[in-house]
Amino acid sequence: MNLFIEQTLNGLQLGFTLLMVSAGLTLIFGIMNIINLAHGSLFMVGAFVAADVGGRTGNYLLALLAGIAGAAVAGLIVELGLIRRLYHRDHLYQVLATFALVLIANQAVQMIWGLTPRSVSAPAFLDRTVPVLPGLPYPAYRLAITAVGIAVIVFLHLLVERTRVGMWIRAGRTHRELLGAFGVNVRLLYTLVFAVGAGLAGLAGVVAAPFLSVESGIGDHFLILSFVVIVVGGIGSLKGALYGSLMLGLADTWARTYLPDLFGRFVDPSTAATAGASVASASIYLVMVVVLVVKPNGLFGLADE
Amino acid sequence: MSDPQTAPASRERTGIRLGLWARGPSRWHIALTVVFLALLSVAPLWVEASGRGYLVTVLTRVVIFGLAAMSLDFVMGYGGMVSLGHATFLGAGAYTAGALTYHSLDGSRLLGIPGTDQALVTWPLATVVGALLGLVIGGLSLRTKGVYFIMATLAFNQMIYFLFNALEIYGGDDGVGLFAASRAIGPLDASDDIVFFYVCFAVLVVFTVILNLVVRAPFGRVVRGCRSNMARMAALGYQTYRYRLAAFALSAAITSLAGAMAVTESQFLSPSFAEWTESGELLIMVIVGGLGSLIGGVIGAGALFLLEELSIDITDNWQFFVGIGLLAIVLGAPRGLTGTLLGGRRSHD
Repeated sequence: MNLFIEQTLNGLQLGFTLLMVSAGLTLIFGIMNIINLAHGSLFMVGAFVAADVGGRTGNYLLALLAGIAGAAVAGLIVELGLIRRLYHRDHLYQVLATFALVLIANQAVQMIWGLTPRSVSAPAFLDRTVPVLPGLPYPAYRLAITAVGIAVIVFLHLLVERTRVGMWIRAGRTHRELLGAFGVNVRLLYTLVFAVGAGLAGLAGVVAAPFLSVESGIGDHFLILSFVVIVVGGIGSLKGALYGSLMLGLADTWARTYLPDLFGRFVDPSTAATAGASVASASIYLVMVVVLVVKPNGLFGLADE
Repeated sequence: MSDPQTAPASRERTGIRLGLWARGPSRWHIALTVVFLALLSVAPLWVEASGRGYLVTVLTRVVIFGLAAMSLDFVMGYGGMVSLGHATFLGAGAYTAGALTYHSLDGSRLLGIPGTDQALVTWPLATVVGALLGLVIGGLSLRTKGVYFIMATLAFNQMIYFLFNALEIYGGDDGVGLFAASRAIGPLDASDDIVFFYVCFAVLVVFTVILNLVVRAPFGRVVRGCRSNMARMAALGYQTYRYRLAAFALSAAITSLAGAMAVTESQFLSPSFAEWTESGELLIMVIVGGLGSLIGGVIGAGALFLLEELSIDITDNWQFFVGIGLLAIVLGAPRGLTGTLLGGRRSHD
C-alpha cells in the first residue's frame, strides 16, 4: 500500500511537470494555431540557465527565477523574430522552421556551455523527506513540484477564465478578426501568451533538472510527451492539458512499477523484467492509442477544427 | 504576410497549401528526374577516378535516404499528410533486417526462424513489416487531421524508438555491430562499395518509376484529390480514409526498405535510425529538394549529405548551420531546389 501511495505521488509529480510544458503549448496552439517544436528547447534553456546561475551562486531560488526569465526572454525573441512570420504559413512550414530552431538551439547550448552534462541540485531546504503518512517518508522536493504544478494550473485557470486578458485569449480562439476590430492589440497578445508559455516551459525545465542530467536535447522528450498530452486531452483546452498530463504521469509511473511484477507471474523473471520495461515505456502511447480509437479529437477537445 | 488581425479564425486545414503544386509529374519534372539520376549514376565512377573513393559510401547513403525522402514526399507532397514520424519505418526496416542478420551471425533463432543476411530475404521482409506497421500507425493517426496528425505520427515515432532502446539483445541504446555479415544479394556479393552503390541505385530507379506511375494512376489522382479537397472527394463517393491509408502504408513500406538497405550499408544496427530528429531530417530533405516532385527527396538528401561532408572538416556544429539554412529556405525559398530550378513552370491549382 505504501508503495502504491509513493508511486502515485511520483506519478502526480511527473504529471504536473508535464502540465507545465503542455499547458503553455496548448494555450499557444489554441489561440495562435501554431505548432511549435521549439517548445522543448525552451525547457532546455530554462534548465541550462538554472544550472549556470545555480552553479555560480549556489542559490536555488535565484536559479529558478533566472531559468524562468531566460526561457521567457528566449521565447520573446523567437516570437518576435520568427514565429510571427509563421502564423499564416502552413503547418508544414511551422514544423520545419521550429525544427530548425531545435537544431540551432541544441547546438547553441553546446557551443555556450560545452559538451559536459551539468546538473541542478534540489534546494537545500527541500532536500529532505517528510512523512506523508506514518512510516512513509517522501522527498519534500517532489511534493514541492506537485504544489508548484497545482499553483500553475490555478494561475492559468484564473488568467484565462477571470481576467480581461483571458477573455481576449478565449475570444482569440474563435473570433480573431472581431477581437482586432474591438481594438485589442492581437499581435501583442500573441507575444504575451507565447512568453508566458515559454516561461512555463522554462519553469518545468528548472524543476525537472535535478532528476535529469542537463545536456543538449533534454527538452525534446518532454516536447513529444506534451504532444501526447495534447492528443489525449484535446487541443487548446487547459482542462485537457491537466487531465491528460495527470493520466500520462500516473500511467507511466504505475506501469513501470507494476508491469514487471505482473508479467513475472506468467513468465520467467528476466523475460518479465525486459518485457515489462518495454511495455511500460510504451504505456503512455498505449493510452494515446485508446484515445485515438475512442475519441480522435481528444477527451476535452474544443470544437472540431 | 498578412496581419493576424485580418486572418480567418479557423482555416480549413484538410491539406497543405503551397506555391508549388505538383499535379503529377510534368514533362519538366521528368526531364529533371532523368538528368539527376543520370548524374547520380556516374557519380561514384567520377569520385573514384578523382581519388576520393571514400565518397562512394556517402553517395550510397544519398541514394538510400533519398529513397526514404522520396516516399515521404509521396505522402506529404501528393497526399497532404505531414508525417513527422517516418523514422519509425526507417527504424522498423533497419531492425527487421538487422535482427535477421544478427541471428544469422550468432546462429540463434528469432521467434523460431533462423536468421539470414541474404538481402533478397531481409529487404522484402522489411518492406512487408513496414507496410503492416504503416497500416497500424497510419490507421490510428489518420483518424485525426492537420496538426494532430503531425503530433500523433511523432508520438508513435518516439514509442517505437523507446521499444528499440529496450531491446537489450541488440545492444539496447548502444546498438550492435554486424560487421561480419556478408552483403549477399542473391548470388551477387556486394561487399564492394561500388557494386553495393549500384544495387541501391537500381532499387531507387525502380521505385522512382513506380511512384511516378502511381501519382499519375487513378489511385494517385484520388490521393492528390484528397489533399486538395477532402470533402469534395468524399462527396464524390471516394472512401478517402482508405485511399490515404493505402498511400501511407505504401510510403511506410518503401521507407522501411530504405531502413533495411541502410543497415546493410552501415552494418551497424542502432535505435538512432528511429530517432525523431531523423524524421525531421527526412522532412528537411523533402523541402530542400522541393515538395511534390518525388526526385526532390533524392536531391535534398544529396544537398544535405554534401553539406555535412563539406562542413565536417571545418566545424563540429554543422547542424547549427543546417538549421540556419533551413530557416532561410522556409522564409525565403519555400519551393525548394526543384521548384527554384523549374522556375515559373509551376502549375496552378
